[in-house]
Amino acid sequence: MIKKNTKKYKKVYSLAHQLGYRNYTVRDLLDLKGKKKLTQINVVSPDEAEAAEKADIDLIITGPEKVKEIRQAAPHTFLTCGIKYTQHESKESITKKCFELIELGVDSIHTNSWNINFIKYVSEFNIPLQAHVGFVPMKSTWTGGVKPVGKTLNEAIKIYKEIKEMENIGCWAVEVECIPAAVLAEVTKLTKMLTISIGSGAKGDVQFLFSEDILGYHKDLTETPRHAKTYRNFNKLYRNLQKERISAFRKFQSDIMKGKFPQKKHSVIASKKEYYNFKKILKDSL
Amino acid sequence: MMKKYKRIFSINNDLGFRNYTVRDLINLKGKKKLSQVRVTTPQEAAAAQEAGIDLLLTGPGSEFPKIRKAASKTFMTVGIPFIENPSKKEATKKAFEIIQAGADSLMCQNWNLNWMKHLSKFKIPFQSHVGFIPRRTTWIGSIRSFGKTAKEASELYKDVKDIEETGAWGIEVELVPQNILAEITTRTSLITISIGSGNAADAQFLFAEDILGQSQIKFPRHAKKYAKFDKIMNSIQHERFRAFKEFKLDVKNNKFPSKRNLISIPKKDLMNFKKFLTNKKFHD
Repeated sequence: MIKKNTKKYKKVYSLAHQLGYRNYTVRDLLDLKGKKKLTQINVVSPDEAEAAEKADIDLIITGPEKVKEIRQAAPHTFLTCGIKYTQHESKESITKKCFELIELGVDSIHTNSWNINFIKYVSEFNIPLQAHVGFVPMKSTWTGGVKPVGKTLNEAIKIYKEIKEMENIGCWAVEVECIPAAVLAEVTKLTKMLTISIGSGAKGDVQFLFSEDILGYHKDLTETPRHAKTYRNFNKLYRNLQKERISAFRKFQSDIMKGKFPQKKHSVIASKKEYYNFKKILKDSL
Repeated sequence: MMKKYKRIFSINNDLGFRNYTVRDLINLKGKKKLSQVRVTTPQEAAAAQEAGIDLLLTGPGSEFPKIRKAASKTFMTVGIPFIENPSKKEATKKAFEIIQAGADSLMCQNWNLNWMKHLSKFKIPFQSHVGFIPRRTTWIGSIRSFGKTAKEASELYKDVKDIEETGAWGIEVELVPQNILAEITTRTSLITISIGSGNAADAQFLFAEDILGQSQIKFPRHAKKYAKFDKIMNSIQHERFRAFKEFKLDVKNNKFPSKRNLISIPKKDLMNFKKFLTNKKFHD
């Protein structure tokens, strides 16, 4: 059953030919270039996806792990899914994974660190692709570690060429990570693709952040990266939540020790007659 | 830590610390009321250990290694579903896998009795399940208590004895009359673990989601709520929504990114880059 939500969302066919509603098609996004600032958030849980959709975040992106649940939690938001190249040794294998994800309802694939020939191959299927240039974590040994890229003329030219290459392949968007704002400002004007800025300034067509940075929780407890802005302190919230859990379990434990749980209302009783008969059976069976 | 926990070898031969061995549990029968909680996340497992819960129960899913790590010192039983392991050999293989990941005991719910006997030959500790068994609802007609008549109670007693004979150490007893379980508990060497079966059992068992008050289903009568996680989770979700909304507004109003989020490039390099782009356009 498709819920009608004609105000905010438009009727679409997904890449897997499923009828549904979305906030944007790829065409809409391309038409909005230079006209509207968009937002993208990386989500890792259905809760985050649902909150993002409710908050009218334009685009969401996630990994393949929970894509089914995340699609269900945010059925109307343009969803991109990243595929890690180390799990697919051939273009056939990576294409198969793309098809799987498309069947689960994703609208676009993120090609983070793929072999360029794999990107070209998948693009032949007209699958909407989002590429990644600038600081690319999995390739950062080539650029000198965790640091900005594109701060010299040569690096800036290289980024421009990479972006043009992705555009020629047919990608609709490119994530541009941690390059100088002035460089992205120039490049954004010279590409048909949407530029998705993370740490690369205000001139990108899209502003992209991770949920964990926005909400203020970090698995490795490192500080919020410089490019991000933190709007909440979920680390603290989760610590308090854990205290609540401990306290609830402690009360349960203490109730048992003191004989306070279970009470009559938590239990069933066999009638006196049946109980008596059962005892007789037990006795006879000895 | 050294006081609360004892040094043990796990079944997988890993040296570690635990609150109990199977021997300890058997020796405590009739002497100490124990608690068991079913957990589904590492957070719940860590909280249960911190709270001194005696026994933990969980599933064999991908989260299990994280759950084991989060509560490494608490006696932990892991359910092995029979449907996904449709032979004695496959069930045993899955059991070994889970033991390698650090389980102290297995939950052989709905297992063929002969499989349990087979598992027992490896001296692998396991508990089983009697009374109302959700997957066997069709045999008793509905979701209801089991053992309210002398006839059913005798059947139940036989089930318990059958499982005792397989070599199990414990038995979950679900929705059985309190006075019936009281009689059975004194007549079996198994540790009886009650869920909705009254206070005479050796252990009391609840689901973490019920204790925390975040059950997905209608709250079961046998359980007790100790926290309001449904409300807490709703308010956290609302905070997520508000944070994302603020980000969206910041982008709209050009408040994000701000200067401190930006990376700069030397003026000379930028000028040369612009020059390059201008020339480039002629060539394109």
